[in-house]
Amino acid sequence: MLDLFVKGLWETIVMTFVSGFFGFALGLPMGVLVFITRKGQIRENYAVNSALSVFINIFRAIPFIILIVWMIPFTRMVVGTSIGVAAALVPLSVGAAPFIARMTENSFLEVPYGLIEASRAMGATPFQIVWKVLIPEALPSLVNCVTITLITLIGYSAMGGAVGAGGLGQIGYQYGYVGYDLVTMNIVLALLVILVFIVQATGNYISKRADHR
Amino acid sequence: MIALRNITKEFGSRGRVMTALSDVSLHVAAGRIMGVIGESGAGKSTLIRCVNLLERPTRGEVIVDGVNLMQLSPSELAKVRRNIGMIFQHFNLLASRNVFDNIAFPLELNNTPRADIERRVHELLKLVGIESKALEYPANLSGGQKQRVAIARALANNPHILLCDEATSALDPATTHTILSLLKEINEKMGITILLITHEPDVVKAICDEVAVLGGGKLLEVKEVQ
Repeated sequence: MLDLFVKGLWETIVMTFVSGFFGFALGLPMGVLVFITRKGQIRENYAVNSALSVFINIFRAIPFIILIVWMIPFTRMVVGTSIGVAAALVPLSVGAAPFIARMTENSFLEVPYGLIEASRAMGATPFQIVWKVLIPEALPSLVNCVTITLITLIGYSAMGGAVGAGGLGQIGYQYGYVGYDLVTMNIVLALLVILVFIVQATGNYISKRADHR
Repeated sequence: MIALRNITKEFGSRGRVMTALSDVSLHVAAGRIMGVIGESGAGKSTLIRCVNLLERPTRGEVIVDGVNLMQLSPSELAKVRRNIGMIFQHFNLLASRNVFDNIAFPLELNNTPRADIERRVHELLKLVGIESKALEYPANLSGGQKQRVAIARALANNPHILLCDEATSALDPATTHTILSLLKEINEKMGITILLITHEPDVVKAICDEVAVLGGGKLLEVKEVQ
């Protein structure tokens, strides 16, 4: 029984962090692009901005449980299977990316425009502005985005459990919901709660350390 | 040397056009301090932003040290801007960097070697009198200290020109006085040309050689300061 929980917890952690990583690998550049192409920004471009914005909105509108099923052909193509932890990583990453893109854009909006203007006046290129001004200045807020994303992914990965993704979600669903084993279900819940608390506390700590405002 | 020739700047689009500057010509000779004064909404802010093309004029020419900035490519413009320092009313220091790294920022932009950055930043800290604050973050500095950091940062690449956008408007009178003396000292020591905009006549009297009066987007007069 203990093995079951350890395995489930480990699978949940793997799904959360690995898909969080790929989610950011996709979402952060999207967020940067959607921000810098906004009206009045350093690479204003109406066409790119609207196209990207529509794309992000469409993916954010799809309920995650449906996204998993909808993406099965693509998931098979990428990892060769549609069941298990590896298969869950694909919809989790794709589901998180547009969410991360919007949060990144929001974090950048909090950076005072004067800083971007001053950097332009000093001859910074758009790349330098993103890399040396926007990202470092928005870092405390970006760390909060990471925290929120990881916690959302813990929830999503549990949802994935219902369709065979593994992890604590699957244990909770099979033993608790299908088998009506209340003890197992509550242990799963307690583990999820503890995981969320740890992620949130760590995120708060790092964000605070990064904040010099 | 700064020469603005027949600058017109219009904002807005699709029928609703607002003219911020209309046919303004201004010449600031090398080594001089020119003050532009006017009420809020007179176009001062737009005018100073036209000098480094933070705002691109709708019509007219911007010539800095003999180069017509309007004809430069974005990367050429970025290089020229590194030789035009600028300071702001709200300082615009990077909150994520300490004083040392804020001053190092413009040097990093053109890939100055680390040892040279180190040496140059220490010179600048000394010049503006905040050596003891090198490792502090801007949030822990007073307004006057922040503006000193901003001045050091603006001077890092040895610019020929310094633009001051209401640089003392957020400071109390005593601090304003010390910052103005510092600007004057820099002008005399380094021969740097200064264009400043302000709504305070006292600032003009304190350090300017010449004053230009702006009203409703038009240049009303230019005269020597006695």
